[in-house]
Amino acid sequence: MSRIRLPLLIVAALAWIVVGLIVARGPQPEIIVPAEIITKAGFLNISNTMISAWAAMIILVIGAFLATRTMKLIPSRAQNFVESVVEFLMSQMEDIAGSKNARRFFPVIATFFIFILLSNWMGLLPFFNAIGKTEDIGHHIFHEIEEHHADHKPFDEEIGHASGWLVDDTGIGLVRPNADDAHFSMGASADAPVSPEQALDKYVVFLAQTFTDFDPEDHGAVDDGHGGFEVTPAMLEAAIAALNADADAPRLLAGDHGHGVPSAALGDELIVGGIDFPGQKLALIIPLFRSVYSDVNNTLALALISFVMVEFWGLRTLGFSYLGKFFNFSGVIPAFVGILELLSEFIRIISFAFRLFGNIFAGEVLILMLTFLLPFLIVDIIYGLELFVGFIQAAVFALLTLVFAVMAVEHHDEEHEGHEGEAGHDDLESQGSPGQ
Amino acid sequence: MGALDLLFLLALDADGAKAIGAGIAMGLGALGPAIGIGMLVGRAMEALGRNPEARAAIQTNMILGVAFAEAIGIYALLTAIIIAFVI
Repeated sequence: MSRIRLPLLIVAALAWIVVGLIVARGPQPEIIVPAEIITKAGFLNISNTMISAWAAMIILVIGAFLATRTMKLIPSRAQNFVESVVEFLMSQMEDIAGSKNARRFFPVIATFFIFILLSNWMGLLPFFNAIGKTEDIGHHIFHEIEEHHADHKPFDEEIGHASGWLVDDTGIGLVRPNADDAHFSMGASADAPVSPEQALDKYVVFLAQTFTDFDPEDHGAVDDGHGGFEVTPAMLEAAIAALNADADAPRLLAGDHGHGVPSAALGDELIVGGIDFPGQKLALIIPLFRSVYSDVNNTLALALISFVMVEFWGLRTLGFSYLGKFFNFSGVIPAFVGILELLSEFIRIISFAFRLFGNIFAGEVLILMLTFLLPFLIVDIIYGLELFVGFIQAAVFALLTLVFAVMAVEHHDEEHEGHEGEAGHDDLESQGSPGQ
Repeated sequence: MGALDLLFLLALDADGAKAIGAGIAMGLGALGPAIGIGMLVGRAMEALGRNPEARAAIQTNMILGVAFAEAIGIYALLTAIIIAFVI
């Protein structure tokens, strides 16, 4: 039985990779570190990570409400689940902090754990990072060229977001085959600026290259050493002819001198007032949902809450003597230790924020890159790993906050409680020693 | 051309220098915490084997220590991010 199963598994794995390579063809995805802004509400930017965080909150609030709405002595399934989660967290916290502290810190710490865990696991759902609105790069690039033309300003740097994905007019960003060369680059730099007119020529040639079978090398393209080439009048005319011949290709809309950009190679003969993309367009996906903690703002918010709560508990329990830990002027060394304590208190904010952000963002990038590097088989394994990482990071965040809180409310002059496991410890020692 | 010559050639380009800088910052910066965390967890497991009753105390202190060691790696990550994206 197992003799047949192993080759079968290998064949299935290879088939899965081949299917992946066929489906997930396309340009490498863009890695964008800051969260994308979806809309603006007044002065507030609503980013996709915020929307995901709100979704997680809504799920938690409604779920908790429904599960505990009608509490019974013999619990229903949902109530049973919530109870077991709470009991598990409580027992774990009692192990670490003792019964009194655990009860006191439970609401905040458990919220940290449950919210971070749900957010991390939600981030692995398939529609995260995939479905969203699209920003039409074609129009975006043309408008930028037009603006530079109106200001009589040459380009001394590349146009941003020039590479993108081809999507159809539904706006759903599935990568299409033959989109491998959908990357527009003008080759502009501070040393070799490109005028808006030249940029237009290059963009028209790029469109012909992307959407039709036009090849600039057939029309005498010579590499200029910057990865670009000089656009000749003949080449541009051939590119326009190729675009006009193909019904699915973008249309160049006519303009006049008040509105539009003239071509550098053809002069006033060709003034482009706009570009119309029928059917498919060159677009960048702005996902509607993105893993909450792949945005450093959200992790920083949690880190600040954790910091404020720890200081609050410390001050509440010990009063002003809590500050004695930081400002101790009984000698040079205690004063120095106090300063170090104070510093480490603030450094905790940074390490809290970047530990969570680093782990989650690295996971996102890893999954995104592996999807296109060796599709589907390896990425499945990484998905499993990311489930684990999401859990561990939630646990670490909650646990560290708990430990810091316990440290803050302890009277720091006193010795720790006596070791209860002393007798057992001795037994083990005597048993272990002959072997060593 | 030796590897060092190639490195210098790459470093002439601003983007290349950034990539090298970020790589070195993260790579070397992760080395210390990796050794530290390895030793910490190894010793904690040893202690746990000797004295299973002290599981809660050992685990708490281990995670606390790991967090401090890991913080150094996080500073390296921060530096690498600043080099790669901000500067």
